[in-house]
Amino acid sequence: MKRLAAVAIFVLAASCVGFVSYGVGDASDPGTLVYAFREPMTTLDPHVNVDGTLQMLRPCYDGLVRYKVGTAELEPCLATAWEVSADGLVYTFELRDGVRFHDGAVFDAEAVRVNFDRIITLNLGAAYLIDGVFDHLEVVDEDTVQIFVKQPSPGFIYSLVEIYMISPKALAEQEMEGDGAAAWFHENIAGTGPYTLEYWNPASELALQRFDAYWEGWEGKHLDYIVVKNIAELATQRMLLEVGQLDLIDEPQTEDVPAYQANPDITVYDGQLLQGWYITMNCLQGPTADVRVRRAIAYAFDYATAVSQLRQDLAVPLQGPINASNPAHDPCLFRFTQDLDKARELLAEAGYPGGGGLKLKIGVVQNLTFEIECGQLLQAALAQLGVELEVIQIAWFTFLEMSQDPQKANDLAMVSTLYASDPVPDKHFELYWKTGGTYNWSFFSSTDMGALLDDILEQAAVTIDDDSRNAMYRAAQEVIVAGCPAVFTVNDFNIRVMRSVVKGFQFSPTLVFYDPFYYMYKEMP
Amino acid sequence: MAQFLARRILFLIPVTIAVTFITFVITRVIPADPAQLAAGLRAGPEQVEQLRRNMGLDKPLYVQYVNYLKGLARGDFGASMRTRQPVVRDILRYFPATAELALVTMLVLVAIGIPLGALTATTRRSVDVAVRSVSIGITALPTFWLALVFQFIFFFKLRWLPALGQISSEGLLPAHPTHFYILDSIITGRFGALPDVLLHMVMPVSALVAGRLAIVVRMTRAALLEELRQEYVRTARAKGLSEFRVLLGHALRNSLIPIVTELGLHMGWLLGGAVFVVELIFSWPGIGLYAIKSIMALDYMPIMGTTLIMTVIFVIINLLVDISYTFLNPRIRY
Repeated sequence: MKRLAAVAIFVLAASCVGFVSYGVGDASDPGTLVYAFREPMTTLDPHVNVDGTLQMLRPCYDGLVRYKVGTAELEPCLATAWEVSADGLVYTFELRDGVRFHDGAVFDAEAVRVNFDRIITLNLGAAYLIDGVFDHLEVVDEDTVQIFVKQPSPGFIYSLVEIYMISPKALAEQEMEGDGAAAWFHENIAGTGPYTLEYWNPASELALQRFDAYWEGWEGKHLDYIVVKNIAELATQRMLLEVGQLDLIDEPQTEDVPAYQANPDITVYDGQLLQGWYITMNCLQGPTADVRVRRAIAYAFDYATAVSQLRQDLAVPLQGPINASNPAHDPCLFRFTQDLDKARELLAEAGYPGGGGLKLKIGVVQNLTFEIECGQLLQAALAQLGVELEVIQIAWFTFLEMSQDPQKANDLAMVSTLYASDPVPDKHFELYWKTGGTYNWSFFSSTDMGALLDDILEQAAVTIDDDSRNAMYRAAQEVIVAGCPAVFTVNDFNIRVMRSVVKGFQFSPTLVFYDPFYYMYKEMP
Repeated sequence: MAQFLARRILFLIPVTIAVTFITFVITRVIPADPAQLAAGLRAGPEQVEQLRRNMGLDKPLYVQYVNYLKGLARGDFGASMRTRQPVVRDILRYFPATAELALVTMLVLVAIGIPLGALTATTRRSVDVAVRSVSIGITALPTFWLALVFQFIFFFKLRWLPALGQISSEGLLPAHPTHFYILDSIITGRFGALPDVLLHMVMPVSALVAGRLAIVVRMTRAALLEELRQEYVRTARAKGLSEFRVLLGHALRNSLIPIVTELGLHMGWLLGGAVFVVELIFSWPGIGLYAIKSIMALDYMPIMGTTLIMTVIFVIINLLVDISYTFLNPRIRY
C-alpha cells in the first residue's frame, strides 16, 4: 500500500514538472507576441477607456483617420478621403467600401452616426476628445458623412484618430436598459481592426487573435496572437523577458536599461521624446510669487545630473513647456542651466541674501521614484544657497486636489506632461497653462506677467492655418519662459524593450502608446 | 447551539455598521475628487459633473452613507469607478484566487506543521532542537524577500517553476464556474490544466507557509507536551496502547483546541495582508491586488466592499473555530 502511494506521488510530481504546454500565451511561438502591462486592463470599451491600456484596443478598432506609422501625418483609415469647408466648420468624409466588423456587420455612414451618438450619450472617456467642438453629424449617403463643429478647430481632425468605430449590430443586439451596450462592450470586442478578442480575464490576461477578414488583408509577415499579461513587479517582468517568456516591456525601469542594452537577445528602442517633467511654482502665493525667486530656483536646478544620473541619459533637458519634436515648439527659447552664482544674486535681489532663512515645500507623488529624486536634487542645490526645501510625498489623488488651489498648493509641485507631442498642442496648453486647466498648478495665467496667455491660447486653438497657429503657440512659449512659472527639467525618451526576434516596431511621434502591432512580427532563429 | 449561532450571526450587523462607518469616514476625509479621478484627468467640467451626479457624490455625506447601507441590505455593494463593474461581481471574481491560495496554504501548514510539532514533542532533544531552529529560521525571513528569492532560484535559475499567475495561459482553462482554479479544472474536465495550476501554487504557497511554520510547530509541541503529562496518558500507556495510538488517539486530539484557535488566527493573518504581498510579487490575480489598486485610485466602493468582506470572513472563521471546539471536546456546549 505504502509503495503504491509512493509510486502515485512520484508519477504526479513527475507529470507536474514535465508539463510544458503553455497554450496561447507562449512566447516561444513565432506567431504570438507576449506583452507585459503593470496595470490591469480596466475596460475593453474604446469609448470609455481613458488609460494607458487603450494601447491594446487600438489593434482591434479603427477610426476614420489614423497616424501613418512612425509619423505625425494623418492617413486614410475607415475614411478614404476628407475635406474641410473653407470656414473650417464642416468635415466631409468619404467612407471605405467593403469593410466588415468582427461580427460581420457592414461599415457604412449609419455606423459612423451611431458611434458618435453613443460617445455623446455615454459622455465618458472618448467624449473628452470632441467635447465642446463636435456639434452634429449628418449622413449624406451610404458612403459619406458630414461632421459639423461649433467653431474652427485645427485639433479636431487629429482627435478623430482616437474615435474608434464599434459594430452597430452588436450595439443594437446587446443593448440592455438603454446602456448603449456598455455592459457588453466592457468585456467584448466588435470593431474593424486586424485583431479581435480571444479571451479576457481582467485579473490576469488579455489575448487577441487575428481577424481573418480584416480589410487591409494579411499579406506579408504578421502576428497571429497578441497576449497581454498583468505583471505588477518590474523585477518579474525583467526575469521573464530575459528567459524568453515575454516579448515586450513598455515601461522598463531606466536603471535596468543598460543591462538590457548589453544583452544580444534583447533590443532597446529609445530616442523618441515622450513626456516632460515640470516643477511648477506657485505664482500667486508665498515666496515663489516673486519672479526673482522663481528664476533663482530655475538657475539652481541641476539639469545635467537629472539627465545623466536620474534618467541614465535616456532623456534630454526640456526646453520650455512642450517637446522639441513638436512643430509648434520654439527652438530659440531661453534655456536655464545650473548657475548658482546667478541664483544667489537673484535671491539677494528678492530680499533673501544668503538664503535669508527661506523655507520652501515641494509636493511629489508618493512612491514615484523619479519625482522624489528630482525633489531631492533640487533640495541639495538649494541647500547650497542657504534655502531649505522640504520634499513632501503625497498620495496622487490628494496631490491633484490640493495642487489646483493656490491657497492649499505647496510652493513647488512636480508634474509630467501630456499631449506635448500633439501636432496641434491645444489640449496640452489648455490643461497646463490656461486658467482653470486641471494641471495649471503654477496659476501663471492669473498673474500680471501671464495675463496675455489665455487670450493667445484661445486664439491659437481656433486658428486653422498651421503657420499662424504655430507662431501664436511660440508667442505663448515666450511669455511662459519669461515669467518662469516652472522649472523645465527633463524630457524623457519613450522606451520599449523587446526580444530581438520582434521586428517591425516603430514609435509614434505623437502618441505614447501607439505601437504598430499589425506591422510587427517575430523572426525566430 | 442554535441560539449561540443566531447570536453570533446577529453580531455581524453591528460589526458591518461599525466597519462601513469607519471606512466611510476615513475615505471621505481624504481631500480628493473621485468624480474627477473617475472621469479621467482630461475630462471637461461637464463630464465630471455628470459623473458626480451618477455616482451620487453630489448628495450630502449622511445621505450617501445611508444609501450605501440601504444598498448593502439588498446585497448591492455599489460599483467600482475603476473597473466600472458592480463590486459584488469584482469580489466574486477576485476573492476565489485569494481564498484558494489561503486554503491551500492552511492545508500545507497543517500537513507539515502539526506532524513536525508532534515529532519535536516526542523525539530526541537533538532532533527537537534541529527542527525548531530550522523552522524558526525560515519564519524569521520576511515573506516578500523569501518570495523574491524563490522566484529567482526556482524560476530564473533552475526553470523548475512558473514565475507568476495562476495558470500559464487562460486558454488552458476557458470556463470558470467557481474561479477556484483547482476546482474549475476538475469540474470542467480540463485535467490537463490541473498540474499547471498546482505548479503555479508551489512558490506562493511555500512563501506563505514559511512565514507561519515555526509558530504552528511550536504551538503543537507545547500543547502536546502539556497533554502528555496528563494522567489519562499514563493510563493509556499502562493499558498497553502503542505509543503511536497514545499520541494520535488521545494526546493530539486533546491538544487540538489551542492549535485550531491558532490556525484560525493564521487564516486571519493570511487574508488580512500576508497574501497581498505574495499576490503582488507573483502577480496572483486575487483580492489583494484588487484592494491595492482600489486604494491607489481612491475607489470608494471597492475599498469599503473589500474591507467589509475581510472583516466578515474573519468573524466567520472565528465562529467556525468556536463551533469546532464542540467537536474536539464534547464537554464544551454553547
